[in-house]
Amino acid sequence: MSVMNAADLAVFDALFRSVAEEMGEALVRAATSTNIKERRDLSCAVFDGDAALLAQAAHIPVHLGAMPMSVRAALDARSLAPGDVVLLNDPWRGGTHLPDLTAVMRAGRFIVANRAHHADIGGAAPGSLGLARDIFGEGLRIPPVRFVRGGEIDPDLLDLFCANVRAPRERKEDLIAQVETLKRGAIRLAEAEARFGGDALTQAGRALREATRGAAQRVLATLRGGAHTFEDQMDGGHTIRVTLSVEREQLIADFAGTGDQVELPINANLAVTTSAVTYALALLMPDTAPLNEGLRDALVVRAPAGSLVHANYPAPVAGGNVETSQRMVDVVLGALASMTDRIIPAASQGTMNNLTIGGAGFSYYETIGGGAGAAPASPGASAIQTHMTNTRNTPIEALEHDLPLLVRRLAIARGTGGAGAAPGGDGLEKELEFLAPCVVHLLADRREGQPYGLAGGLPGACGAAWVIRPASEPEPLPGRARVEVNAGDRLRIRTPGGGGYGKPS
Amino acid sequence: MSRLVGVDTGGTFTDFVVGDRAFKVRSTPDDPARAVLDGLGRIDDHDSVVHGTTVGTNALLTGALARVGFVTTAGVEDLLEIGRQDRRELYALAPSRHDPMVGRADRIGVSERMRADGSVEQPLAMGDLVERVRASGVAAVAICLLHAYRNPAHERALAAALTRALPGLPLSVSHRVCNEFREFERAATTVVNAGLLPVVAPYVSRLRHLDLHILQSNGGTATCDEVAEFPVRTVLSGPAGGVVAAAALARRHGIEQSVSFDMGGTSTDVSLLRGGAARTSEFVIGGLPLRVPVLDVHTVGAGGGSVAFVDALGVLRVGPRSAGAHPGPACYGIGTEPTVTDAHAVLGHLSADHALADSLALDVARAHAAVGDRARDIVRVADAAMERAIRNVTVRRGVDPRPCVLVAFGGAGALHACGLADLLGMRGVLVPSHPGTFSAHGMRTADRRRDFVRTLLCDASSCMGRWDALFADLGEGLGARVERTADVRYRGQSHELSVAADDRLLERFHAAHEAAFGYRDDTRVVELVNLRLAEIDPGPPVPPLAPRVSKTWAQGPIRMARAAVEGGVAGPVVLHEDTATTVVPAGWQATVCEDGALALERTP
Repeated sequence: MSVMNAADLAVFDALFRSVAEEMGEALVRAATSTNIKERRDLSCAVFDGDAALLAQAAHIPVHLGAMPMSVRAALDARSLAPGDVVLLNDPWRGGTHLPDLTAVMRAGRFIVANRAHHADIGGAAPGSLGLARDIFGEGLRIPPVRFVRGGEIDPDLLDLFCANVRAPRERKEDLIAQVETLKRGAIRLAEAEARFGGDALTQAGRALREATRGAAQRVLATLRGGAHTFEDQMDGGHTIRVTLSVEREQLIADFAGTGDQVELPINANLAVTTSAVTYALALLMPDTAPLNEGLRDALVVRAPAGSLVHANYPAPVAGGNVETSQRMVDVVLGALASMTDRIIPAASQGTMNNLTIGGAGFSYYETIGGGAGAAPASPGASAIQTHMTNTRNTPIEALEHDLPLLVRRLAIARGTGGAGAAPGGDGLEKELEFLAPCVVHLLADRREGQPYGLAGGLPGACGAAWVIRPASEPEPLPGRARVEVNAGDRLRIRTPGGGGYGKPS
Repeated sequence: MSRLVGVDTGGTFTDFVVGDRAFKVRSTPDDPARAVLDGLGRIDDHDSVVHGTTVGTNALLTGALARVGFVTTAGVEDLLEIGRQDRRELYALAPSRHDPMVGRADRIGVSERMRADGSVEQPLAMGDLVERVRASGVAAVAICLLHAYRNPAHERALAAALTRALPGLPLSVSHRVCNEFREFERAATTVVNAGLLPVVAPYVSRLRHLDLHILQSNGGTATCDEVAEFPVRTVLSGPAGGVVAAAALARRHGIEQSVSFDMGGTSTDVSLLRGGAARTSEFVIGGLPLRVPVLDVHTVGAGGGSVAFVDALGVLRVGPRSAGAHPGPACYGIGTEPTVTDAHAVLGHLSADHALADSLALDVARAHAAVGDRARDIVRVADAAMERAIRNVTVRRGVDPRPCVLVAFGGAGALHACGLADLLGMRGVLVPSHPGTFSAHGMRTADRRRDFVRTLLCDASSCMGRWDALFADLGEGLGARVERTADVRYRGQSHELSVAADDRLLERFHAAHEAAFGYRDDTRVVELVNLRLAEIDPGPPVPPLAPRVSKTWAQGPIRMARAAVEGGVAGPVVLHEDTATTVVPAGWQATVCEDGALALERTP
């Protein structure tokens, strides 16, 4: 096949996507932890031999821009022989935050990779999303290591890993599932090579990348010229500021003016920041566009080293992935709103409301949906996962069967969405009763600054949380909190609403 | 000769098969029963009727469910709107979610609470429930309380109270409709059932005077009374007929593993057959998870009428938009957009003088104008979508497609079958006699079937030797044959595998897990989630349809004597008959089997 025609592109696009999807499906089914199976906090992707993204199964947007960096880091650090799998989570060598473990394997002339959020990776807090002051408090840091050699998992590495994490058996099973899933992708790609020839596949990958880059450039050509700046503050007054412009058919996202990194787990590394900007651009792309390296080709991300969005070692980064990335999207969208007419939505809840509960013999983690920002012609959805995450909740009946908890209330927090010609979505209210002593960690934002409205729309309400102990007044919790609870105590969380769009009538 | 009638209601035609006769009547979507009664009127003397209906499916997909009141545990009234809190499109400026089905004013919380172990945490206090339901003006009520799968006492009490106070108000109660844990899925199933009650029950009552059975989504038939109480069980009635027929055909031909491939005008239904059809209770329709036993069918939005277009990136796409019945493919003389059918017309796969359904003449020049030089490309892209669907039902379940036979039917199935078999390396293709009315035929072969389920959530090893006791109060003690299965998983997992429930369950599960997911761990605790019981009465034996006798066969433009095909014919050749066409590419050969089916194999 010398020239790719429109049908070739369709056939190969379907092929790469289906390999990524099949790996994703296999991982969901083979894994053990609730986090991977029920919440689907994972991504699977196919790359060419130079670590250029060919296809990523649509699971978790925050992984979109970050996965290629992991693959590159794996290739830089270790030669990948057939049957080897490199494992990593080091935020300064291809990782994002420590619980996200990435596995990378060569598959003929391609590379397959997956990333799964493990429910614990050690450190001071169960669930590893506590309030550490540096990376060492957040758990086990894994530089790119050859976890599998010649098809066999390295037993020494596995022992070392298991000795440093809570619920080691579940961790081990999830890791094995990650490795097995990669093998499945490799088999599919080998079949495809036998069928089409490796050169045709390589050429198809390049052509699809070109097609996506071209589409991205056409989107950028519709944006207003000049520099457009937007900024917002995370709780505690930490500024995130971005200036967008289009230069030489690329979107330049410059985070100059963003606050310095802090001794709080809300620092993001460059991979996470790149993901947030990539996601915002993906929102503008035509529906059928493959999301591959071509998208990244149309982007330049500049972030000052040592800032909140490009933290230096050894900053704590647990919340960069889940909190700061959410806010970065709202900030980038805020800047895009002045470059386009009437398509960009107002701010969404701007946090993931990370809740970790640790007790005797268990550790539970969830993120809680909230209000989506209203778009010009449509009200924001209520009680829904927005932007950088799309993980599902755990059914109440499953939760109560597995853990000493009762869910007293799960409801839409009426009136928390910002008013507007199109109102913002409402947040969610959840109340848990503990049936045994537990340690609760909350990592959330938008407790001080409200999610902004656009074009005269009002902002959404802030989120809030309380501990309610028997016979006492509800005790408000800050957005970043650690609290010990006893049987009979309750935790009530209300998540932020989305901003409204247009003046309310 | 059996006088059992199969009736399959489709979007355009309602198909009838009786004895060795098959015919089509134009569907009457405004009142589907009219076409059914009309067609039956044309059959002189018939006895019982097996009917596949899309009344429920259409009501669900077009949002025509009745207004439902949702009664649930106080504190979780918004359950249906929140769902699993995920959004449908990952990259959308304005993300959307499923329709919550019940308006906020129609959600009623009652004071009560069960715990996960079935103990009463808070007793039931009905309050002003009856008054609220009466005042709301809803057409049906769904009741779904937390942990009712474990202890249905409060649901029963509520249902009794409502029935007493508001007789005649249709009720759908979760532990009766779907006795499984996971509250959102159970509630969605219960609410859809409630919304279908006022739609399906009147339909069924119009046909009740007939000796009628209705095909359920599980591939078995049910009485009118059962369907009137549990209409949600018919939501996949349509595709089920084809799958049942394909399974029977494969069994008759001694084929162990096959894939049923039913390609129609707007979509294609694919299902894996291993011995028989696989069942599942996890499926999503219109964004809603429904937990009722269904045949495991994967549907893709690509069929003969799917429109081809080049997207903004210069990539050729086929579907999901369809030209439908109106305007239809360009070659039918009205539409102008290129469809898969037009591509086949251009490639000479449809003969120009061949009478199409509804007596439309084929306008090949018009197809040419629409398709240009993309005919082969359109077929390739459609094939890629269907290849993905077949992989979805095989590889993802740990089955290698290569030793499987593709059982192809529906209006367009046999056009694509050999090409797909080549793409997937499948062993061969089987095309039944009368592929266009194969589903209606299949309905006649369906078993009578009742499914029951109960959630246990216990250590499976504690069940050994106690099966009779565990199954004792499940089911109605009917049925010539009983199948006991269990949904089982390693503790901590959230997906279950179904295996036969007896003392060899553990070994079966480990082996099934290895086959599906590539590993087993005999040291892990195996959790038994659900017990399932099926009561089955085999349907009467139905002879296969008469071999193709009066069909016209043609090889390209040249007509062939039927005898020439019967003796075996090598590709490339195109075989025409009635409403279906089979493409036999180079390297393939076709023979007519004794039962009239066409067997396609690679030339040795």
